[in-house]
Amino acid sequence: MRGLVLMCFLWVAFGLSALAQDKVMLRVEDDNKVAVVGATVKLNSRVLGQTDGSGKIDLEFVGLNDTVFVQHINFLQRSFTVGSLRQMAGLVVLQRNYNLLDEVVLSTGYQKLVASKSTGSMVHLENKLLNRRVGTNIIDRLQDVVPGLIFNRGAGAQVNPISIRGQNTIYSNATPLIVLDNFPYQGELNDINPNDVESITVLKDAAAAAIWGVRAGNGVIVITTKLGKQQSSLKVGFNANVTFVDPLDRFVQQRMSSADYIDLEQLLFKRGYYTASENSVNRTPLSPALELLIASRDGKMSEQDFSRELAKLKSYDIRNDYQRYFERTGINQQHALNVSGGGLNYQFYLSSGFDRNLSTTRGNELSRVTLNMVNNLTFLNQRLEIGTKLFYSGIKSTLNGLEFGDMRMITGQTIYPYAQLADDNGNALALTKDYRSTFINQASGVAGLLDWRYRPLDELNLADVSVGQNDLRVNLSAKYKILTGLYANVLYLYSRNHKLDHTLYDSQSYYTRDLVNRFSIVNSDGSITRPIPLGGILDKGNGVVQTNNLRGQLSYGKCFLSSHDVKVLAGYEIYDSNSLGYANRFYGYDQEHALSQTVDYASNFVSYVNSQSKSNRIISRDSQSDLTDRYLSMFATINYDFKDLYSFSGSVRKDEGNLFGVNANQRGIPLFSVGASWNIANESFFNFPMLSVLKLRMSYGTSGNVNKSLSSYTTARYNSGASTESKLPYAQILNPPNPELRWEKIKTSNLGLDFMLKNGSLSGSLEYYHKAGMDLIGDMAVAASTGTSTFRGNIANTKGWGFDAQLHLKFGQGALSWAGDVLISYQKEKVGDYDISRTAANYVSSLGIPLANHPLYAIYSYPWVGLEATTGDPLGKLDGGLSKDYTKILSAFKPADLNYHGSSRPTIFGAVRNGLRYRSLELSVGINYRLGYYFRKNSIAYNTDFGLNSQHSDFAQRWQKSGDELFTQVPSLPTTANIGRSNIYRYADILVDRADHVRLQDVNLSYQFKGKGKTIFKVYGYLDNIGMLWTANKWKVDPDFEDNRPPRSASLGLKIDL
Amino acid sequence: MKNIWILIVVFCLTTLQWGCKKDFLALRPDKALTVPSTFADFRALLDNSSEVMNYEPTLGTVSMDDFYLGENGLQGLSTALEQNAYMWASDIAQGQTLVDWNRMYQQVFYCNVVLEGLEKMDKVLKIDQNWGQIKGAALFYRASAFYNLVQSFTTAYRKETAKSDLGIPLRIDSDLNLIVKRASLEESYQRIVEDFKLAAQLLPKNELMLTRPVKNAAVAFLSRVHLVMGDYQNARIYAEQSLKENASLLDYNSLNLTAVRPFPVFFPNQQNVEVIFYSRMISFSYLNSALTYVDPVLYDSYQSDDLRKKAFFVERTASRYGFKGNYSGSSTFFSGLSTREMYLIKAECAARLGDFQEARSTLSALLTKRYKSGTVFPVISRDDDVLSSVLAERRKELVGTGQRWADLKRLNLDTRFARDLTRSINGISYVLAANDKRYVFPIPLNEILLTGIQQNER
Repeated sequence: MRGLVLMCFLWVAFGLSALAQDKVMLRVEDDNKVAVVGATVKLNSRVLGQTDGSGKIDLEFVGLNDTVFVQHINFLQRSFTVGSLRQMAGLVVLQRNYNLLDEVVLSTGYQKLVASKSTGSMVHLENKLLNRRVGTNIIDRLQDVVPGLIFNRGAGAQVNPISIRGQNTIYSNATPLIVLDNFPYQGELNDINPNDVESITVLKDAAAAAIWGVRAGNGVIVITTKLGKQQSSLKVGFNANVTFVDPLDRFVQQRMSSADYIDLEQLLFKRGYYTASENSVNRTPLSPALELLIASRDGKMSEQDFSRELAKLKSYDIRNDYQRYFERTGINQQHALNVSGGGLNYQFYLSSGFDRNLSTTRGNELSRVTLNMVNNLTFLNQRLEIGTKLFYSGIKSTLNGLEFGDMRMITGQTIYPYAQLADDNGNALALTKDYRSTFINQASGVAGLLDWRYRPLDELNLADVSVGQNDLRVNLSAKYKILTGLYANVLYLYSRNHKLDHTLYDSQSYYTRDLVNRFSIVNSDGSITRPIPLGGILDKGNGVVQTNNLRGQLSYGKCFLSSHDVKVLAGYEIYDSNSLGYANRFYGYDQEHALSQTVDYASNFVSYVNSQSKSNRIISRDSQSDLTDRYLSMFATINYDFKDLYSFSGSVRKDEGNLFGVNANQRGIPLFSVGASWNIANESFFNFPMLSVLKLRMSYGTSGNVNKSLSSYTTARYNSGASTESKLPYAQILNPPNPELRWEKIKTSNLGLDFMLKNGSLSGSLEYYHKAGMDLIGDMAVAASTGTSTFRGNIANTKGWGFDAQLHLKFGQGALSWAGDVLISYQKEKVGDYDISRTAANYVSSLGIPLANHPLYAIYSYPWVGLEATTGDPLGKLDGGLSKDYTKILSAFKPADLNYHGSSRPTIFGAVRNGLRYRSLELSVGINYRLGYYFRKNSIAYNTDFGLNSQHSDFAQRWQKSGDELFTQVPSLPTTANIGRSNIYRYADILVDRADHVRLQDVNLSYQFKGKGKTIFKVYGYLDNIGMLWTANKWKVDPDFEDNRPPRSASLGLKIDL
Repeated sequence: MKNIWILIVVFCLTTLQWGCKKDFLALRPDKALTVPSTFADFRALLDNSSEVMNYEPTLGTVSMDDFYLGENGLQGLSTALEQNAYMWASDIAQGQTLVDWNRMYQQVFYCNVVLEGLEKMDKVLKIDQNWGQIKGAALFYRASAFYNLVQSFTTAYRKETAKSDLGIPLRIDSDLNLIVKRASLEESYQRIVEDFKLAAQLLPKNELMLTRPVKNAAVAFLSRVHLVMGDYQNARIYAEQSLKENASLLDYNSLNLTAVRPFPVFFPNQQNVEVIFYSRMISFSYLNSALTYVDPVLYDSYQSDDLRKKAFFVERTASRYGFKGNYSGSSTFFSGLSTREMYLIKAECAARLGDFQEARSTLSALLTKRYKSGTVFPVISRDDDVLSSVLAERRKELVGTGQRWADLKRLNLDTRFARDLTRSINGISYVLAANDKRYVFPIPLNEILLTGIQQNER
């Protein structure tokens, strides 16, 4: 607690006793008459020495008028003339102001700890480091600066974008807890303006995080926002920057050429693959090339015209049009202004921020306004401190863009690669998307039907999709000093997050026209009945999350018998978060007058497209939800420090939630942690003057994890039944009863070593940890006659261990200096005993399925045998011989028979940061590396569509004639669709390789200069996602971003401090 | 003093919270989630006809003889399960889950949750009419699941050996930790009969939707069960009782026979007067494969004036016919209870009990609605032929409704009607002899491993 420390006034006493005329023994004490160890005493700028274990130091003084400075990280610096020191027989009273501390203060969200006394694994990120990167999102700034924290990519990354020290759960929440100014933050991370953030502390082990109880199992990220400084003049800060983002180069993607695709279509056409589609009652769409083939076959087109048209199609590439009309250079702007200041009893911080991001996808943009008002007041002779914080954030995201992958046919198949989106004059062209062009042409002749063509470029202009978000947070805190060292503290948070989704399908949009047409009924007299009325279709979604969080705590701190520093804290907390949401759809929407029309949801309608399809109903998008999350928690911590040599910490916490029901709560066991540290360098026997810090820490404890999808009772979910045959509302049993249900538990042990050379040229830390996930939610096989074939309960466990190391090097002072940071993390993890194993096919084709004694995200493959020389068919082994009976070959595989390559998540990762400073010019270059993991390269997947959907360029490398098998492994085009044949190649070991790579992540260049008065200007430039430096795989592809390279960007910014 | 006041306030606040803790933490995390405890909850569980209830096994239909697969049809089936069932392989699921088994026991589980929940209800509520009706429905659903399991996973019922023949695990408790062994076949049938009987007492006469069982559904099912048990007297009594309630027949003359779906779409208007209870087969690719054809002998057995020939079948390729005559009015295979089945049971029982005139008149009542108006359908002159004629009509009438497998099993016990089935797949011919062990499907491996119950010999 900032306030707790702030209110804690300490007194320093100087006891002087003259031993000789020019020799003085100085004794530094606090108000409890406890010696202050390690205070530095300077004469002018010369260091005279540090106080010893009993707070004493012998000084030699030169003259009575010399000035002596006494400094200690925990105390305000004081200065005296030697003369006045001699006269001061009594005590000199110093007021301590923690806001001015140079010492690193770590925040756990419950209390503030001085780094030198902490026992846990915490990483502190100061403001300057956080501002090295440029961007809208605060969490992005954690990349490459925290050992053990990784940004996940690939499987599971959507749900869990970051992991701290691996993943110790299977089906439960795996994201770290984010704490913003003392309270858990559940809102959108985009709502936090990075310019308002003072510092971030990442809590990695139990000693650090266990105070957060059942939500701490994945680590905790504590964000502390800025506050005005006590007794400081008015300060104004301004920061503005602009970032240019390169759109993705679509030609990096390994896509089949238009010519190859058309050749494939032609071949399949000859085989009769499209005959069913051609005659389909659903008017299955056929690509332009196929329509040409049909026309030519039916003699409706001359051979000459046919070849000319086909050649024309082969020359198009949709990517050209897409890049030209649907993408642009993204421009992100950021402006932030803040004013802060404070007197003795009052501090404030006001800020406002404005961001506007124009995405590289045309039509997508985000604008954000943040307002922030922080006040701190002290009353009653500084016994009472009242704090208020008010945050507002308003975000509007416009999502009108058309993503490349969204262009699909009604069959789900990727659009043909030779699609043209615009003609030479930039006019929108229609694509064949949901129906055959012949059908659309014929329908366009029917009076009353709407135009049925799909023109993506027109859609871009008609789209009206947005998400609005308003986030309001009110923090109130009051702290009262009851007795010296005893404080009562009440904190309260109210937050309200309102989200409004808006999707208006314009009356002219394809979505609306298509839906209206599909339901249209042409009557015998030629008139049209439209069950879906003309006009737009509006989807509205509304969600409000309201959180109340109240915490009351008592803290007591005292130093006993000169050297026993004890701090105790205990409290109680209530958390209640309610999330209400509803969504509606309005048909026949008239934007001008905000009117909509009713439709008949209950009746069956005949499809205009297929008159045999008679039971079509109008889709209702009405839904609502009401979720409540409640906790009651009790917690206590104790910190004990002996002479800055030994520190011990302990914490205990019990959480009860509304997830389990009362009985399960009662059986809950409190989570706890213990930790200890030893400042070896402070020991009297320590005899290495080179080292100024040498500290050993260890901790052990448990934290928990939450799985909201389970309950101890038989739970069922209601469904309105609107989409079922009987239309009766019904319920589905989600959980069989599980009275044994409990929180997941994660046991963490941590061993750490911190060190620093005396001159500060080298410092760092090395940590070893071991994590064991216990009582994890996993699946257990139960007899199917129970009514459920698997049972989800607390049956699984995981193990993980690793090292985190961080080194900081610093050379040079004055005009030229260099600083280097090296981060190395090594982590191993695996699922423990696990009852259920799935089929081998499941393990090769998807990640994140637990298999005993393997990492959760592991890469498996089929051993590759080769291609048959005569057919180019892939071969497999069966009963000791070679075989092409793919179903049998693949079903014979047990999970244990698969090749296990390794984890698909990096096991070694980190970053190297180089900082070079010449006077006020600073250059920082960030390189990161991810090693020790595997990936599966994309390739042609014939599946049942002969590769029409995957459209991979490896198709060109396929076996085509005897002899090809000598230099290619890509199977020939199959004669009949065969999933097994496709998979035996797609999941073969030849497509798996090491994903190790090194990336030049970013460069920051800044120049700082002084203006009038105290004004400081800083100009900076920043390049992000510059490129890959080295990659281990044989194809030299980017293993993390095979087809979607992270966008390169360049920023330019200006920072002014007045 | 002031300090002490503050301490008091803090502690009061704390203790106040403890006071209301129980209520505070009792709130449901998600309002859409419910711990089933009210009539509405139980009703909603039983109304889950889209995912759990109103489904019946399909394996028997894959194995029976009314349909067959054309060339390449076998490879076209989406699961090895169906391929194995079609080839009468000894192992069907090959260690994988078996949806026929799982879904039926899922129904049993839902019913047990409901029945246990009803028992736990307050005394006052137990006299509410909802209580009895819901209990009746749960008993009906559970009995029908047990019945369907017995048809798939046990031998045909023979009174002499039923006490020693293996039945199915009769789960009547929702506790997942219980291990339930296989009851005898006799016990299994007794449980089914008792539950249906009790259901018949409790169920209402009418319901909102025919996905919900009514009294007549329980009666009709009792008739079906007794027929399979060879208890023709009782089967006849229940069939007659059911027909007294509803003897309506759909006149096929009123149908558009050439339509893709000749029968009215069943939902939401429930226009088919014959339907007593709606259920359908679990969707297997075999059912709707374009290469699944109707047995040519069966097809040819329909006379040209027989409207069913057009109402039930559609020509797919030259003289190969697919089945289209679902009472669902869609591609879903209806397998529920209908009045036509009651006519057929009544006729069969009458014939078996020697009441040939009754059998003839019952059959003709049905067939008048199946033949073209004004045409004459064949008359069974010899009494000896009545039973076989009724059985032939039964096969023709109930094609594609999931009854055939049970019929084959029970008729095989009678040497007069026993027959070997043959199939030719890719040039290899397969035979399923009458009373073969493979008429009983194997229980999924996991069930055997986890409960130690006895596997069926195949």
